[in-house]
Amino acid sequence: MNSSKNYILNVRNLVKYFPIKKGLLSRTAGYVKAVDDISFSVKEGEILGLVGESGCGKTTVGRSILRLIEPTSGEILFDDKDIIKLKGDKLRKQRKEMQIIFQDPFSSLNPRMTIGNIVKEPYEIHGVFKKKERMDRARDILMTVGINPNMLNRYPHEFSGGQRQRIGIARALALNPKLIIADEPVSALDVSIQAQIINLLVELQKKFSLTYIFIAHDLAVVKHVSDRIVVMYLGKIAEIADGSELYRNPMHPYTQALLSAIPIPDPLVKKQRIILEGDVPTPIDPPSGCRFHLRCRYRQEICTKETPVLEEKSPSHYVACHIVKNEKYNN
Amino acid sequence: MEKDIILEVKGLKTFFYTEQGIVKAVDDVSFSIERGQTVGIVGESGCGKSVTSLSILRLVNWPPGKIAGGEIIYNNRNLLSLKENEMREIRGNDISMIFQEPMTSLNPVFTIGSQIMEAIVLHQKVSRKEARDRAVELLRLVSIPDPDKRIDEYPHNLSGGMRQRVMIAMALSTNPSILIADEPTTALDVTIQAQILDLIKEVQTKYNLTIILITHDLSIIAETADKVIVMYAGKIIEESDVKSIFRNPAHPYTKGLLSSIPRIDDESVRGSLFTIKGLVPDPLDLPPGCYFEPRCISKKPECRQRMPEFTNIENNHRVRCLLYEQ
Repeated sequence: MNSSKNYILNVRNLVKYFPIKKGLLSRTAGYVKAVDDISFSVKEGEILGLVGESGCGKTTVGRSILRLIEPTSGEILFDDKDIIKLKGDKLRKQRKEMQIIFQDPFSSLNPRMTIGNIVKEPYEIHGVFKKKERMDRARDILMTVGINPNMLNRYPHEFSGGQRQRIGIARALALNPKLIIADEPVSALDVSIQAQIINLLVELQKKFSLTYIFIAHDLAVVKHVSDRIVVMYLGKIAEIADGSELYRNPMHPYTQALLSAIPIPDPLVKKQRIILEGDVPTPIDPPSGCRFHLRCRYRQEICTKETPVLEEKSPSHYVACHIVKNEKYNN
Repeated sequence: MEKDIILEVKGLKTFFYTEQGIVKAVDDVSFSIERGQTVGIVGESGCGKSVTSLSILRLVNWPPGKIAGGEIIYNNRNLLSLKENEMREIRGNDISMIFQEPMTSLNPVFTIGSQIMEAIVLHQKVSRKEARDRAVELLRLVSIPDPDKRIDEYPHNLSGGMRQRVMIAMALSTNPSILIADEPTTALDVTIQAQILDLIKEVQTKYNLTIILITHDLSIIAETADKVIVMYAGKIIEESDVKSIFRNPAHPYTKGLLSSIPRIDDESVRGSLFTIKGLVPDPLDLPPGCYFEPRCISKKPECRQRMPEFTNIENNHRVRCLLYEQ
């Protein structure tokens, strides 16, 4: 995964440890190893899905890229600039290029601001457009996401969950960013509303040639929208592949189990389900070697000792597993 | 063959009397469940699926909620006319319930053992020693590792999946014949969800349990239920055996729901998903006629005139929609 012109973002050896403070003097008693040395790239104009279960570090990755949390170490290259080194004005300018959409449409909008003011606030922070123009711009964007612009002066509580998520999307689009990180954008919504928001996100991506990092725990949703998918487990990347390749030919035993656990809305489809034993271990004291080995069906001696590296096992299909050989995988 | 009906709900009405008006959360709902069956009740937020299950156990709080009419027949007795102490017997011995949030439904200041034992001591005449042994045995049954040690742990020591196992152990402690599971896996990760659904199936076979599964997730219904009830705005709009409803969904709402879920086994990339236009109606301002009419793509002028009756379209498959009325 070399950095070449068509990669918009390169994440290299990203690490984020959260210190655990204990006692009166809050001495550091240990670390939550939320993200532990991961590297991946995002191509311009693609939708990259980031999946995994709670605690796998997917949200921490998203927030680190935006510098909403400070990574412990690593490089995040956006247009060949290392975001981690940026400060002050330069960081603020950089942030115009990257925006986020949050999961919870109820807590991510300020209840005391009208939706018009919410959507035009980014212009004020970044000093874009003349004062008079800003509200007109907000009106345009709200229309683009399907909110009646006559509601500009209403407050968030007057809208349903789906509509609020649209307002959150409008705010993310306001500065015309290149990259949008969507962190579980549909998981708080009912099925019928979920489909509306997914369609809207895909439509906007085409219209404004956006690049998305789409973070979600629901692999069916991620597969529907993504070009490529990164599967994470306990702070590490387990597998990266094109969406359909990942579904047809999952190589990592974790990906296989994850796929087989997803219920399919058709009672006539009978499939072999791999039930994983136990829970995800704690990221405070992750297992040695491969982090998945405690729950893995194919575990061997080496898995308990050596951490597998992410390798290209077939074209554009990267897997971190000792068991998978460098050839088409056969069960 | 005569059907062995274990529970029959007839014309159930549960209303909430709010300052703004009467919310008919469950409005004239009737269905029956055969012994050993799994019935899935599915619908979106506010459709009345949870209130239906709470009504069966008479756990709707007054004020503002009240069961305003109907009958719930279990073992030839109408649960709605039982005295409170008789109803407590039913809750303790016959019908158990597990909830969505395993964290908030366990008491954080007591060990899991004491909480399971409380249910056993309360409803069965046994000593504390016997109750403890039984609790350990139940924890083993739900596959909690080292049950004799874990029994003395507090809920916060356990993961979400483990807590849901404890809830299931607690629900089974009284040897119920019906288990109501209200979104039992919604708060859990997908691999843990698979474990819990597996466990529920396992205990169902072992105890010949009848299960009422409340969920918003049609995929879970497809994999676990024998019979499906689809609710919308407090009414049942379609009811069927599981194969028939997924092969041949009849109500435009059911069809819409089914085609709006992205499927993992769908090979087409990023096609536009089908969407149901608009929003669930305000329960205080329901549309005239069919409640789904404003969002329906197959509506006819008559749909605004009256609420449709049920039409049988196949064996064990009925739908509340004018398109099917003769």
